[in-house]
Amino acid sequence: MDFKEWFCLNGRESFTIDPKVNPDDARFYFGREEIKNRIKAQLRRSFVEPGVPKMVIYGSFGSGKTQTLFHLEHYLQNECPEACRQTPRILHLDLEMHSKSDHKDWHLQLVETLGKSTVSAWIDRLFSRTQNLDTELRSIFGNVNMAEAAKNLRAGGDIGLLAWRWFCGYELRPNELERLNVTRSLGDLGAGDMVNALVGIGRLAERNEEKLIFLMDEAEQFKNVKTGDATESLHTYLRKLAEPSNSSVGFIIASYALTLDDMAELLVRADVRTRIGENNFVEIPPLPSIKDVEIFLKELLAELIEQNKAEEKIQNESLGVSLETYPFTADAFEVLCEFASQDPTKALPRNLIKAVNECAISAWDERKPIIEPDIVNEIAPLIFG
Amino acid sequence: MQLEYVEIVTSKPVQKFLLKFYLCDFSIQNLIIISPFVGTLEGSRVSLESVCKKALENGIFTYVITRPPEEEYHQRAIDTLMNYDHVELRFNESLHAKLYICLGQDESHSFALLGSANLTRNSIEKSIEIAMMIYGRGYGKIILRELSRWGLERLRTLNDTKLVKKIKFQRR
Repeated sequence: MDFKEWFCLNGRESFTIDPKVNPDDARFYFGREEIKNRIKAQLRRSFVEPGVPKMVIYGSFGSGKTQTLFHLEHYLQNECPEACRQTPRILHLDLEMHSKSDHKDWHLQLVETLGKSTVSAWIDRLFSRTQNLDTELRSIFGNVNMAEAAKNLRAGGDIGLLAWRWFCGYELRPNELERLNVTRSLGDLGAGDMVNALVGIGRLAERNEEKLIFLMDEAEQFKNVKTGDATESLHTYLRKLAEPSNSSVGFIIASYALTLDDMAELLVRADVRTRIGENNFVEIPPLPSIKDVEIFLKELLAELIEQNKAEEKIQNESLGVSLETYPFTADAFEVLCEFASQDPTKALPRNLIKAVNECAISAWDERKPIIEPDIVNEIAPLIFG
Repeated sequence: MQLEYVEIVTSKPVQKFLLKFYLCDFSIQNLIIISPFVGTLEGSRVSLESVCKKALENGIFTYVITRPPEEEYHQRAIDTLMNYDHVELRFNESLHAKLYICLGQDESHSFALLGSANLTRNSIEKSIEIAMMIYGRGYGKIILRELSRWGLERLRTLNDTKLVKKIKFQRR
């Protein structure tokens, strides 16, 4: 018998949940009804006004920011709010910033995450429906250069690639610009120019019945930027993207931060905050009380353990534990909840999942079918101590 | 050769990993050492003792999985590991994989070494080794997650992986 069978795990090798490795885990959001409902309510509202979500979530390492992003994607794809009239096209990216990174790097990451083939396919579909692609593209992008570059994305080979490089914000040579029939490189006019192109792509997505939403993790990376000018350009890029007039490109940014002021400064400047809206800055806190820890753990166990199999095992082997806390005895479960709640800053989902895993591995080492308080007393201080 | 998140290392890969671990100044959660053979590395730039000391001083829980020792050098390394409260030690007779993972509190600081090299002086000084250093950037993060799950969960819970020494916690 292996570990998975030993603890009646439901089609998984351990108690770990990680939507990056197992996409199906995105459906889980344990023990945090209030915060979950609050974020979802904000999301629903955002599709009414300004038309797309613009949100920043923050919390400590292990608080569940990444899980929140994946869960929101799951929510939008499976229970899309009525106010969102298009199908959400959700794109994940882990932000990467270096000391000299500026708005061009951010723009490149966003556009590359979207991908040339997606944008080209949207233009192709538009072409098949419209009488005059030029006019249509000009109305979408509101700019002749952008419309020309977009039109060239349909072309295969060199020209298509060149057009994509233009949208990515690369500096093109004069002869390359000429081939694209554009008068300048994207970004020559600054960060706002690049945001306009991205918002134009968002409008193109809308014409194709899709709504572009970026989920950007690890925004603490903005703190790596050390150059003043670069920081300013990133700030301008964000401010423009957060403008109420942008109703086509949504974003949810997640950042490590213990408090709002702990975030990269460009994310919390007054002009950005007023545009995004104070209600759209949401803290993902540790689990606030022992009751929340209990609920988190019970919901986790209920999902990860095959209930019928566990019930049968409890009965057949007279384990004397309830299905609700299995594989923990009631006492062991209580001890774990107490340990986890002693220091509120450590009552984090990542720590709780780790504690369950380590307790189970310890019981497995001793070939014990259940986790008793002695194991929790040994393991929990390693994690919460 | 170095890509964005992975680097091929042909010169003393284990030493490179240990040095990186030893010299880094960010917060580390776990160190995972999976190597069929382990030596004390005395006389090399970073000894097993100094790795264990750093782990102890910084509260880094260290998981070591190796084969049961048959040779004296291996036994001496096991004796060293047994002295440290922050080390968990497991034996698996069938172990052939060599994997070293340093998990940072901030995932982007994490790195791992996956390749041919054992944690021995021979590997550092004589053998021809090749390995990949994987960094917690871009796709590297997903690879690191998979590797650490394999090391911390799958390998530790295999039927023939036997626990030899548990981590002992002392409140500081």
